[in-house]
Amino acid sequence: MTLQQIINRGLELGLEAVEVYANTSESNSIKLDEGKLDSYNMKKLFGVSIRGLLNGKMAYVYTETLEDSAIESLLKQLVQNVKLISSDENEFMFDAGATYKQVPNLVSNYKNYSTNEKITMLQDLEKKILAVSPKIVKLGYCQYTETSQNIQILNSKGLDLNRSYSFTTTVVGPLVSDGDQTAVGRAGDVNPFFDKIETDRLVKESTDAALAQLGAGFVKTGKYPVVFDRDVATEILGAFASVFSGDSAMKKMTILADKVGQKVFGNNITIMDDPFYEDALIKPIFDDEGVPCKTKAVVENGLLNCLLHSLKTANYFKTNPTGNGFKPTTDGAVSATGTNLFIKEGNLTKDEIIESVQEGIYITQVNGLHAGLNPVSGDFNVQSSGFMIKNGKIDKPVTLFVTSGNFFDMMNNIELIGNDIEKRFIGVASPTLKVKSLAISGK
Amino acid sequence: MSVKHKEVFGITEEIAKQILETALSTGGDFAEVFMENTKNETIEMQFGKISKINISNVSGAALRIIKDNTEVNCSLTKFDKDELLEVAKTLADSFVGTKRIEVQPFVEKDVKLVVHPERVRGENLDQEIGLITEATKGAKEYSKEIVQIVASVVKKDQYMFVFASDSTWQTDHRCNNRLTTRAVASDGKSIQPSSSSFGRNQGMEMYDGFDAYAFGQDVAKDAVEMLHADVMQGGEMPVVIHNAFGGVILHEACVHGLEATSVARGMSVFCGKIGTKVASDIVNAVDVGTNENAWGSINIDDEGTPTKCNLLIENGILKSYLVDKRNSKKMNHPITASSRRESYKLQTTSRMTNTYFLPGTSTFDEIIKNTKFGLFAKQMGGGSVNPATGEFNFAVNVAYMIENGKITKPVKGATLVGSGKDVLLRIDMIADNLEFGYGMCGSMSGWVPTIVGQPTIRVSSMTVGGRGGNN
Repeated sequence: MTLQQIINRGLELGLEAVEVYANTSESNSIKLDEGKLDSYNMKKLFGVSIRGLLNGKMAYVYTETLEDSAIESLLKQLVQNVKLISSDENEFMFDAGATYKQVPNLVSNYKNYSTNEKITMLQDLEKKILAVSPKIVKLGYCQYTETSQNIQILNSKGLDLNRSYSFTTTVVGPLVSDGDQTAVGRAGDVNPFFDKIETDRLVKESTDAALAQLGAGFVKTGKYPVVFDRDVATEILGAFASVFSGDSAMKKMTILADKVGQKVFGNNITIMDDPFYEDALIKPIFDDEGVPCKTKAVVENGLLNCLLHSLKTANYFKTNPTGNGFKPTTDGAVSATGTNLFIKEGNLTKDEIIESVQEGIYITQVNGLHAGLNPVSGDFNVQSSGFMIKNGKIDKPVTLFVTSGNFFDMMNNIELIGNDIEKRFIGVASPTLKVKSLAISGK
Repeated sequence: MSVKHKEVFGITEEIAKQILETALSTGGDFAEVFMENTKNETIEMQFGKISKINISNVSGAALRIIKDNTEVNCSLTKFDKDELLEVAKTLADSFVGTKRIEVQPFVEKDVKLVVHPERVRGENLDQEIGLITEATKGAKEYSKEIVQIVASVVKKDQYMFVFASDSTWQTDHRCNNRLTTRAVASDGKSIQPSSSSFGRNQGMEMYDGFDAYAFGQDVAKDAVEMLHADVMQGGEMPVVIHNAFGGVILHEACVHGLEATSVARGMSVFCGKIGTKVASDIVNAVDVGTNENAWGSINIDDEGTPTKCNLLIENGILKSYLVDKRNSKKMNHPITASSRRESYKLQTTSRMTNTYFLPGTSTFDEIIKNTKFGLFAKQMGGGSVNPATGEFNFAVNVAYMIENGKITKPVKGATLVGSGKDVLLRIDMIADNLEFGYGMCGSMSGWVPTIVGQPTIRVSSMTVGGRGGNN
């Protein structure tokens, strides 16, 4: 069946509206091990999510084959399932005819380069990293991936939209050791252009922090001023991003559910969701329901302006959809999530922020965010490593301590904000942040 | 076996041979095709109303060729004969050379079935809906402070087929089936979630006699108790880790570091440690793929090797890694039937199945009685590890303080961190009460169901994180 035939058949079976969402993707990935090709992985994938509306309720099915009998059976199950949905919230499908912002579509140039050129790029990168110091034992990983994806959304209300993106990702992770302790560095570059991959930056970023981590000691348990490196601050914001979701609010799984229009964070905090942000890699013009994406301050000078909404959650809260109805995976249901969600930059460099600290901790790595962090209560307890700060200078490395706090308290106690948001970020970003005080558990 | 290859996947021995011969035409040592046809179902209830019914059919193939130390592979959604032959040719073309190895005649091994799902789905969803309704009712009726309940039944019904140039020709049918309930308690000021799961690799018959109401009540009890608990005050102290999901300590602190993915690349603290002491003398640990219909069990792994019981640690001495076909050659270590993948979309590699400490000789009461001061970690959450450094962390969802040999006040927000090479050596008491927990383990080849398990154990000293107190 074609996508249009699926829609027609769904309507014949009694659905009020039908939408198909087709994802066609290709990717190639190259991994090196000790200078040699370890693996070359190709993917050619296709999947279609079909959703159907009946009496304001929605059910989903997903298939990777368009064979008639498979589609027929899935559509029949969809009709059966949608009748079982009993939630109070009503669902909708978007009409055709909205105006979308024009954004130039970035097409990667990776197809102009041969596989051998890509292997050579990784080999050169590995050589440069190993040459930095004899303490670099090997590269735990050294990998290049190129991805292209096309999304098509078609529904029975005339919606017919298409978007594509393509880019390359290069990641390296050197293992460093002084014979006693080991540490693993990491750095990555997401880049649409193969010839512009920032290999020099990868060499520096992946080795500097890992080498400096060697000889790390323990922290004395206590309360300390904390500087979060921008990557760590980004990871923490990403892990708590669901607190701004209309879905979490509807499920009462965020403290912010009934706080729109109220002061929730410190005056210095502005959090934007900007699909068209210049430094973001992907700039969606419509969400996965076809609603136009738009720029908004979710939090402006500490005040919660709005939550992120899909068609369903906007209707539930009697407000307008914000173009944030996205599918976490092709086979999943739409939920409200950010496009490019970031903490607005301040005007200090990372070094200036560190200089402001008499005694504190600079955290460069956190682990276990999925387990040690609770987006419902805002509490977090995460394994961390980094450096002591003494008299405004980075002092000895420290590891295996737990940083504990509460996201909502913390966002009311950010003292300084950096000016260093990552270029070409995907989805979430934060500059370096200095927090007044957090509990640190060590020895 | 109940699965018929031709019916499900349309591949005859003749076509299979042709594909593998094409794949090995440029000198490859090994070629393999994995195929699957999987139906995922999610039925979810939110505070008593059915909020989600999703069905997804995943079907595709993965082909790989290994030559010396290089693997080339392709995952593709379509799996008709012509497409597979074309991919076999493309992949073979990445190597330069002539044929070195013949495709062996296929031999289907007779496997003793340890996983045999029966009633995977009924005429309708009545049983699934009945379960989540009961669990919701149990949680709701426990306390007025319960403000949200999300209960779901998630099933992954997978037919897989693997054939390879080394004579492999196997199929398997699996049905990972799990009931999960998540409750949120609130007193108007703060909110506290909790959750629990019950899972098996089995059809709906696994719920016969299962008390979903009591299961819901237990989840609600944890949320309410933790809502009113004091915040943990961090520091270093003895920690008693309770049975069942407590076994996540073995999973994170040690066994991820025994997987060939880390060991073969020299990226584990347990490299070169076979035959040496890695844990205290009372520690014995296994990874068992053959427990009857257990959540992490499989009849064969995703390379077609029949699963078995792997003794990992015996009386504190490291005995085995977890090794797949490719890494077996590289590491000169026997295959342990550990190769798993979430789907054809990800490359298969060494993973865990059901992994646990064997019972010791102490009793639970003795352990508590012998602990003057410390943390009783009753229910663990998830965690993570960096196998290269051995540094791990995990969250404690439900915990109490131990004072003068007695369990006292509940505490929330505790996290345990440590180093895998130290923590197993510090286990000084093991109880006789082995139980299991039902997790999803995420790693290079995606999410796979694994059992973590253990009897109650005591670690003489660990770093416990928490933000309470005035320290």
